[in-house]
Amino acid sequence: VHARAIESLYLAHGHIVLRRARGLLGSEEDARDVVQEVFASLVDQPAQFRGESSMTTWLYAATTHACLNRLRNQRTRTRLLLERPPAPADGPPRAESAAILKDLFTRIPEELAQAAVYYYADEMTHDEIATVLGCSRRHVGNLLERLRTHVERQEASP
Amino acid sequence: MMTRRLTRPEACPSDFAFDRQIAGELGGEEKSAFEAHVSTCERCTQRLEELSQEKEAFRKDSPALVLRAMSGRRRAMPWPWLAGAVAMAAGVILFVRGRERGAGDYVGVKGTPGVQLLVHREEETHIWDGRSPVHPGDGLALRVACEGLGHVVVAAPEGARWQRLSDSACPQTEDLLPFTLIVDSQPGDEKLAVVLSQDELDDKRLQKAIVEAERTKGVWVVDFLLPKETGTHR
Repeated sequence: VHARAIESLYLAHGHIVLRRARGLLGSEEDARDVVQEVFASLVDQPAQFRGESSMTTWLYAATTHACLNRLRNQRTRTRLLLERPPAPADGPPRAESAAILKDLFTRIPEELAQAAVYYYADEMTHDEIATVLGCSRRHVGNLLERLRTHVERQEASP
Repeated sequence: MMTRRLTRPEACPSDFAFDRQIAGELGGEEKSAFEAHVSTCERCTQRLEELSQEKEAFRKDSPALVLRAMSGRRRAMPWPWLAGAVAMAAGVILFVRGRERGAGDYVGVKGTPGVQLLVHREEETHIWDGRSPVHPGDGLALRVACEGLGHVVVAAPEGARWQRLSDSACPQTEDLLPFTLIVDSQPGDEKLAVVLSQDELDDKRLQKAIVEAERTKGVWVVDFLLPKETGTHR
């Protein structure tokens, strides 16, 4: 991918990265850093995007990975959770998603954390999650089942 | 497992589907189903409009966004990395030899717009003197004094036309533009133009302003022609 092509991709798709990072991190500044990080990484290593998936699909995966890395940073995570406003009772499940991430992302494998993000935060279908993860729909079902086990185990613990 | 409470009706597409549709990536049955649903769903018609507007807003704001982000990285990253990353992101290829106008035209005469070119080489930064050659790997930064003009475009020639490398609002006060250009190793003289203007310039107007080296109340062009040494200099 040539640098100019990456610039075009940035103009055409950057808003997707910004919106999702903003939603996952709850911080405009961090979200803009993620936009930079995702596209700068593409400049550094253009072979990352091999055209095996659509650009949108690749960017969803790259953004999720970048955001989870940030969320795993203890200091960032603590600050973000403190800053995140509580969701209204009948509003979107942001608080629920945040709680799941809070409790799980440092304890579960990357793939499971990604599935949690797509399922709860992005509200994607199983087919869509399979597309982004590059796996079968059945595997997505297994991942969500493992997620269920983790959550139940966690809820059962004092 | 905790119940997933959707923020949309179950039948409505996710944002992932909207993003793919807007990017032109949906095809066949997926596309047909998406369009059929949206045509009958007020919520999704509105969501499609929102996300389309979001994309346009980002396109309009993106140069500043990218440059801000890169500028922010300057604090943490070594200069050469920053320069390289910005140059590649912008698709920049650089320059050579100074004209009478150009770096000498600094910024400094009150009320007159101006541009200063700074050269960063081996951990040192100095103001370009209008004559000295630049070398591959040098970083170039621009300090502008817009003096009331609102927009600044940095452009470099590509074929017979000038290609915008950056297009953003002028800094409120005399300041460095928040990006760095990297000198490449291609031989031959190359050019750089900085266009300060009251209003945003469309492409035709920009080309004309640069070619005519316009300097009027509403448009002020400063161009640079830098000599470049591509031999062993270090």
